[in-house]
Amino acid sequence: MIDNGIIEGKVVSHTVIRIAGKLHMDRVPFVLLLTATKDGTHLLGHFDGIEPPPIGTAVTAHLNAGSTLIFTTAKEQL
Amino acid sequence: MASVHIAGVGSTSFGSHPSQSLQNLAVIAAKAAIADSNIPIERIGAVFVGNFVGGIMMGQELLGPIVAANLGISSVPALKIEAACASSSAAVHLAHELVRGEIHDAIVVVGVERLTGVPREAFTSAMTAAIDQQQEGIHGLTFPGFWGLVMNRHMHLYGTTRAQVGSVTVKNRQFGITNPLAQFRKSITLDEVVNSALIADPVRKFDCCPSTDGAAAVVLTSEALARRYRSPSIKVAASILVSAPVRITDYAELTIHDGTVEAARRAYERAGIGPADVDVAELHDCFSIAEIVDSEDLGFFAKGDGGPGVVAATSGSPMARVVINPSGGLLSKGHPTGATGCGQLYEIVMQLRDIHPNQVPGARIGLTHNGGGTAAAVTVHLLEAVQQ
Repeated sequence: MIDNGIIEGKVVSHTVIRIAGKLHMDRVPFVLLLTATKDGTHLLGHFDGIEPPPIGTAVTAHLNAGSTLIFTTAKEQL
Repeated sequence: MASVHIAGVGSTSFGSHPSQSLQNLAVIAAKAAIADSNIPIERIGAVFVGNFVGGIMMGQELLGPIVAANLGISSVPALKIEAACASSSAAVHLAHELVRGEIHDAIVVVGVERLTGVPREAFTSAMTAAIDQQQEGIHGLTFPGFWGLVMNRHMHLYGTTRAQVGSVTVKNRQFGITNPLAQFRKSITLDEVVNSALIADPVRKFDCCPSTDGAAAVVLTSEALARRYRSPSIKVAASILVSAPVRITDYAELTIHDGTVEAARRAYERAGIGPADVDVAELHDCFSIAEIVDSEDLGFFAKGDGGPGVVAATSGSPMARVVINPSGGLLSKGHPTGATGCGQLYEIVMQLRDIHPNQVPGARIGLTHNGGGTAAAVTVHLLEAVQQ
């Protein structure tokens, strides 16, 4: 669900990328989240933290066209 | 429609071949396959080369005409076919359709790749060329990352354990010990797997297949031509290639890979058999969790039962009738991406000829499963031993 540029969703799965390609090797380790909004849309983005939130955790992100989504746990965001 | 056979097979060893060019590896495998088939080289009507990153890694394209010329074959259709890690099995599918449709009655397909001897970041970048760069590559998604997401989801939904996933590597390394073509020919313990370095949590180093050089080839012919030249042929009962979701965000459920499910469904229907009829399978275990997911999607286990199913396979339990990856699989035999599909077919042909070093007793029906990208291009081949 997207409201006023804020995406709300839940964590479908997560990983921590520790070996990356050339374009991202300076950023490792970083957390990737696959999330699902209420309408079922799946979104891939980074997580603002080192430890990934458990599957099912509510997360939010600001929608910024053309840039990587960065999710935070909903509690922190709100 | 012609009945299609694999009349001959050939392969280099899989591993490190620093002194060999792509062309040389391909020619070694292709010549071996043609010789094995007994088919005169002048009967070859087309040459297809499966290759993924020859341009990126070796600066070499136009492999079709180059390999054909180096084989001494001219004035035939000769081209490279790319479907990431499924390149050569996709090429086999196209060759199969041309023989089945009686356009050609003999086609050589060779898969080849050179991946060793480059920095890890360069290798990772080359492999991620098979991820949609515009949509998902920009986030830094890698293939270990893709399978890390799948593995966490599988463990969450079905209770699959770290030990069950690690058992895949242990099993396949054990098979590799006695396969002379395998890259890894030493056993590994479960402790070594689950305590190896994290690559993309929870995927660890020994959950990953190695980078590999190698080539493998098959000669596809009509049944009539195979009989005429007394080829030691194996019938292709089904050859299916399907496209599937190319982005991880397109998956309805991350633990169900639609391409594998659909390719398997069509293959079983074409061959008139079911998963319970398969004696031996070589499936795409690029990561240990992949063997679990793929074995479920191919119908060998119910969804969610792949974890205990793998453990059953290592203990000889009747739960696992089919023997999976007796070559050692990608985890042990190695994964020269563009060559892997033909390498799997080589292994199954040897099984159905009853001469494999890890022979499955009485094997009559074999399956190969090869996935390109995030399971976005998937082939399933069913082979059947026939009376000569």
